[in-house]
Amino acid sequence: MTMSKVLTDLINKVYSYNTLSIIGLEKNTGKTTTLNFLIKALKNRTLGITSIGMDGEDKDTIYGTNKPKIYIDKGTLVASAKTSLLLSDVTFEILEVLDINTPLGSIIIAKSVSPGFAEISGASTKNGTKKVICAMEKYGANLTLVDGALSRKTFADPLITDASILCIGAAFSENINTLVNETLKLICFYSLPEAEDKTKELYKNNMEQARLLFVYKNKIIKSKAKTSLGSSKEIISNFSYDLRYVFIKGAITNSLFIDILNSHFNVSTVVFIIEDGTKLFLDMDSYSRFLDKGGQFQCLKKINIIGISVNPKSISGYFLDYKAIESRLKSSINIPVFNVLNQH
Amino acid sequence: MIDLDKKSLEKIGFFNILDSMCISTVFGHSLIYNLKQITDINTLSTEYDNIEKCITKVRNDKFYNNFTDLLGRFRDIRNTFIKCSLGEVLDEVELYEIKNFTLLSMELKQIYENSNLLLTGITLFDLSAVYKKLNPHKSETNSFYIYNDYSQFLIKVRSKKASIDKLLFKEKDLNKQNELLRERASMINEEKSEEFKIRKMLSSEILKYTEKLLDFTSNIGKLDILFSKAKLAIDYDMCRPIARSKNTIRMKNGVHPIIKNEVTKRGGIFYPISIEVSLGSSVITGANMGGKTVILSVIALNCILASLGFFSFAKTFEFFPFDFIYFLYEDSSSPQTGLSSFGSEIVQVKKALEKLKYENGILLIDEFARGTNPEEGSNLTKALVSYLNKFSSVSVLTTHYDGVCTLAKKHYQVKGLKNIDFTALKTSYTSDENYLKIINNLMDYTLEKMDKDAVVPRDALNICSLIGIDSEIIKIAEKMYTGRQKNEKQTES
Repeated sequence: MTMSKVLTDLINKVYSYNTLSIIGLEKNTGKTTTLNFLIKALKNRTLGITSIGMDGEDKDTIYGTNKPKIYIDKGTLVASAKTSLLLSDVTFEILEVLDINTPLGSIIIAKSVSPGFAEISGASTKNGTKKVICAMEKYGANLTLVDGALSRKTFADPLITDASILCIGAAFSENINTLVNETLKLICFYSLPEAEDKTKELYKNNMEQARLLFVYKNKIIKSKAKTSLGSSKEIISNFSYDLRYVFIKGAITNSLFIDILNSHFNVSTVVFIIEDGTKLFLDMDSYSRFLDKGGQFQCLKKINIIGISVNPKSISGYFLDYKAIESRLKSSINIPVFNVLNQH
Repeated sequence: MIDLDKKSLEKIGFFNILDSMCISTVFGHSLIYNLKQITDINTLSTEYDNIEKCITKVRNDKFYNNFTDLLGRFRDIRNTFIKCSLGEVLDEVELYEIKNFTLLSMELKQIYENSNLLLTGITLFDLSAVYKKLNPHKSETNSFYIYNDYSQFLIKVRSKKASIDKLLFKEKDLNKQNELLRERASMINEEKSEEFKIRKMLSSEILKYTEKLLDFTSNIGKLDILFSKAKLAIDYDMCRPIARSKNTIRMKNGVHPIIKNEVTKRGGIFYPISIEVSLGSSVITGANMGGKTVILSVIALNCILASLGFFSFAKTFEFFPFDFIYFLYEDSSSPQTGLSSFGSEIVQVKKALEKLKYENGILLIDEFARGTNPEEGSNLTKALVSYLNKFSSVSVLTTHYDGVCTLAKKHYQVKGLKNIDFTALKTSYTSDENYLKIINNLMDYTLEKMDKDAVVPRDALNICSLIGIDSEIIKIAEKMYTGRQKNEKQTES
């Protein structure tokens, strides 16, 4: 197999991490194909493989298309729920049963004694996945790949892993414009700058229970709001020129922000601190207005996207123009882009 | 468990004690809340012997930590054992768990035997035969899969599958690839069915041991409980109880660890309680706030624990294996009955008296008939005390009523505020002081054995005056006191 320079560089970069997640914009954006490609390309590493939540079914339930399975080599560590694990055609040596329960049984740490197709469904929570990664490392895994399983709008995986590869494709949108814009928006949100350490510290110390906190020049007001949704009035009414930061925990929606943008709230004198880029659910128009008005988001943890894998084939069989997607993305961002279907 | 309602056990602080124990295993946890009362003196004695043996081991930090850590590593796979005993075929993960269990069991057995503990009632079966079945290799492992060693056929199928795998990834032609995939699929079917046969064979081998495996889990639980009883005994400096057939309770320096802890936290001192009561009724009198209820709680707690094979919270403790124990205290009646507090108290006493007629037990009653008018209350208490003397059960009552103690077999009194000079005290404190705290500090909680006809102390008035209730009330009350004393003298002469 010969790889392009872009991919060789990407693979080399992956070697510098201990954990990598594969996340997808939507179902059928080629996550498993990307994972299989990585498993094949990564040499001289004891791989650990798990997923967050349940793996996709054998066949896509709507379109009946065959979904690829994860093919692993001998000596690979996996963490998977018992039922899935026993359905694999790999011979697994059972190493440990973890105290993490899922609808498909406890999570098992196992090592493949033969190569073959594995079914992986991992823990469904962030903490569970952290434990799972630790357990695989205990048994010698030095590079753990986390499959983002079903697509979801709130990812937990990129926050647990050192780096992520984002899978996009025709399954998300058959309109190149929409696909590229959505991807750029995500990359933009994920790469929001991290707050200064002392601000992060203040956030961590005060936001254990709170959802909303106002930091002024010389005082702090903790909101009693149970959710940040629908708290635009409270945010607006707490504005003053002494307000330095607004700490928000949880999702930030478009409607919340439109209310703020349409009020006397001067966003240019305040920094909004959020957990991470996955919590932003703004459309690009509102976000541009926010930036134009001098607004600024900072986060606690930046999400490190090191590559974008494109699956130009839609489930209905329609092919998007990969070259067009690639050049549009490359003109805006400096992240390696590759076509997952060409990597066999 | 013990035949006493949950609310009373809570009041006594029994569950607090259980909760504070260092139980390491799920098997221990399922036993601790279902401990059986031991009514045989010899069985009690062997249980205390067991604890004594464990105590020496618990004092050895290294041994204790290793041992409890090992116990904690056993997973609860009783359901797998049961599944196996019903003839079901176990899967790889279940076989792995059994392998791990047996490996740990061998380790535990070895440590236990090396320790020379020789605890009565603990038998750790040798399960190495099960382990050997699941570990066909010579080298010791705790992981598991269906090893090639189990069948020649399996080796054949697996190597065939491996060669197809090699071809499959070299093959570029899609048709040929599909052909190979089909071939691979049939190999996998053969592999799986061979694996099933092996799992079936292993399951039926393990089936022979399921009883021993289950028995092992309950022995882990028993060991766990014994060690946590021993740990408790060390932590609280508990004593080995002495069980006798004679219906007597003799306690020297008994304490209630939970109450003691609270009192010490408040900055107070918990006075250990020494008391001896035997068949018939004994009465405890004493000042208000003198801790009479605590005394009953300590007696109840130690009796219950000792009968469940625990050591006692005391310097020495003697008791007898009782058939029942009743603890009647304020609020012990359930409000749902719709009876007044007096009414429900009587219902409770009636129940206890029924038992008393046929069985040997312990009856602890806190301030009987406090809810009715003092004259009737006093008469009723006197009647109850003399009635209780007829039975071989041990009854202890606390009361404020005069004249009750004369009818009891024994009379104890809380020293209370007896030796305090109140007039001097009153002037030396300002009214801003926290009088409750002063009273707590001055109160002598120790019990002293009194003559049957000793008078009930009159500390209530002193306490009122210390707390600073309106002095007019005190004056009127004092007049009544002296008036009554004069009357009494006149009738005497």
